[in-house]
Amino acid sequence: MSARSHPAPAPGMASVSTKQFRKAQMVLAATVRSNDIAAVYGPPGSGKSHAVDHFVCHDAAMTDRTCHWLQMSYRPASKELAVRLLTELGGNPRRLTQYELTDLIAAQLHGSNRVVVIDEAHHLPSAGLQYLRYLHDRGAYTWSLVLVGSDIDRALKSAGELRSRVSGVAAFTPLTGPDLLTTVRRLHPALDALDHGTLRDIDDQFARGNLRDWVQFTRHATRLAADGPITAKVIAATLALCLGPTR
Amino acid sequence: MTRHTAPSGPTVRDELLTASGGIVAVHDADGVLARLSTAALTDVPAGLVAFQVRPGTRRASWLAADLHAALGADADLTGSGRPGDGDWTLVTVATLAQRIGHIVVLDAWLLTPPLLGALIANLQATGAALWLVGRGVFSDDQRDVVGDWVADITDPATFLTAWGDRPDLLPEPGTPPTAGPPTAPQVPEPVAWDDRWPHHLPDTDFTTFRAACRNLLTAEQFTAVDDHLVATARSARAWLAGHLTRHTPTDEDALARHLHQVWQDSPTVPHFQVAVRAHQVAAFSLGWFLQVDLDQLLGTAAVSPRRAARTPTLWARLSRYTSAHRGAICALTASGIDIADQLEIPVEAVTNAGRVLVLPNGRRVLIEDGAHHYLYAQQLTRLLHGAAGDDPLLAGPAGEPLAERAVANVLLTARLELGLNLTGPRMERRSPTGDRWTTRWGVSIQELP
Repeated sequence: MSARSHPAPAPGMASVSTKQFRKAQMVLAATVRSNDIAAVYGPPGSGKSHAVDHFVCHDAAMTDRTCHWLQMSYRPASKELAVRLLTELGGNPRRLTQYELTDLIAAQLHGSNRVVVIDEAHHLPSAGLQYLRYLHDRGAYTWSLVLVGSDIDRALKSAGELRSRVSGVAAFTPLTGPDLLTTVRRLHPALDALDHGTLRDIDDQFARGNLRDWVQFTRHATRLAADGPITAKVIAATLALCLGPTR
Repeated sequence: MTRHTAPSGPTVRDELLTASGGIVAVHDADGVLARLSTAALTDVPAGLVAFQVRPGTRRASWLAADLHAALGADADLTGSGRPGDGDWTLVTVATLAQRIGHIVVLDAWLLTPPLLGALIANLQATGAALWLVGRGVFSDDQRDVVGDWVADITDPATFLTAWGDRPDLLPEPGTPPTAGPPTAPQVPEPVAWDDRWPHHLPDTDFTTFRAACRNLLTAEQFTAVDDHLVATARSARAWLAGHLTRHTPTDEDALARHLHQVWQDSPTVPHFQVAVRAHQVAAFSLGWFLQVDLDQLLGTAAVSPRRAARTPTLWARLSRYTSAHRGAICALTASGIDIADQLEIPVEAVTNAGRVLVLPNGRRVLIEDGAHHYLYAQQLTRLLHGAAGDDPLLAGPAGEPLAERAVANVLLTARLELGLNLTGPRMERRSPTGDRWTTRWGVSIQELP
């Protein structure tokens, strides 16, 4: 399985299961079991890549399946996509035409039960999305495709053929209200010690329901607190560090 | 009360094609046909083939290659050229020879207008009904191109009704894929061995063969062998009485051809051994001495070229070659025509869509069922290359003349790549005739004084 690069977690920080996270696990399991196409979308930092990563590493549906994780560059040409995909699958793309690349990729994926995750899929142009759909068609439901990106829903609208093929959709949105407080408290014991008002203030000033920002805040706060409690002084210093002079 | 029944798929198809002049364009704006299966719309023996346009197709040769692949061509076999460099002439010939009646093109609206026009123009030459199915955007430029051929755009629901008789047309996610064209060489199925038959027979002359079998075989084996010996001896006696003319060279030639047919029709080597002994018995009873060196005879039979093992399914493997000349050479060899004679066959010798070959000497040769496609395809290829009726039938994909060595190599590669055994381990450049009878087969015939 190709590894996705994980940011180093802060000491004591836990992987929190939100409603959106659990729904994504269910959607991905159903899609992968039927070797179909799934789309996971939401704003940056909302936890979609983490949810997919957790799924491919821990879910029972991934038993005996190989996962290939591709981080998309900005608007790659179809041939670049094909070259990167074949390389990820272990093939040698040197001196091959796009026709040959396509046939080799299709042959490697057909009947393989593999899972291909395309992260930052919103960077793909319409031709790239159609190319992935074509490869999936050639596979005749024998491998699974997971598209992860912030504006996937908009990108899919430009490739109608693919949109109608997506069988599972999991949407991530910024956390608000009780969900936010519950999730943040589970994120780290030091945050659990803070009252509701303080947590809401931090969210209003910096994180705005974004999980990645909350992880960043927690990492800095626990470091500044030196394993002690997160005091008002630590919070102010951490916010200054996170927001910076321009924010 | 009058009961109205919905028209069946074939009826709707015929009506659509009649109304549209042989080309139907379907625009699927809402993704109704998103899961349309190419496998469900591909049945080459039934005259139906479908292929999907690749996103980013830049050359018409890609379309030709994809259609040829849908017809069964394998880009990994000898003579296929570089993948994607399809040849419309060869594809047209393959379509005509396999009598394809419907070609379905999925995602047709991914093509640029010039490529769309080229696709339609090239497929018109095949004479097949053309179904263009596109999902997503259908531009005005594409509409203009299609408008030259089609008056009305068909909706997806009508298309589904027309092809509603095809199973798994819109498969659900997780449905196991249906079997498509073969993607790997298939090993010939072994012929089931009759358990009553021995794997080895006594190595004795025909005069003592029956007694040795009775002594050395089990009762069940002897019964099976003896039944075959008696039945073959009777039919052999009738054949010998009707064909031997007491002119030795002519008789040897006729007997060589006859035994060659017996060999072709024998399911196993022991069956053929018994048949040879039966012919010896029958010949002796008619005043002839048929001499057989069994070791030399069987030495030429390490590969058993049994006619029984050559079926239309086996012949279908040759459709994996892109060029028709390879299939034609195999078909001619299987019909007992040696390589030197194959190179002399003119284009006009192929008649009845490849089923009958009329040789320059007037001899009519029936081509095996399933093999005739390739002779017909080769004839069409030569005619499309501008060959005259008296030009050689066999030529390369571009019309270049072939040497004996090239023809022999075609047979060798067919054996290695497709498992199609048409000749023994020694390449049969000449078919067995009386003049090489003793050296090649270890058999001779003499009239008893």
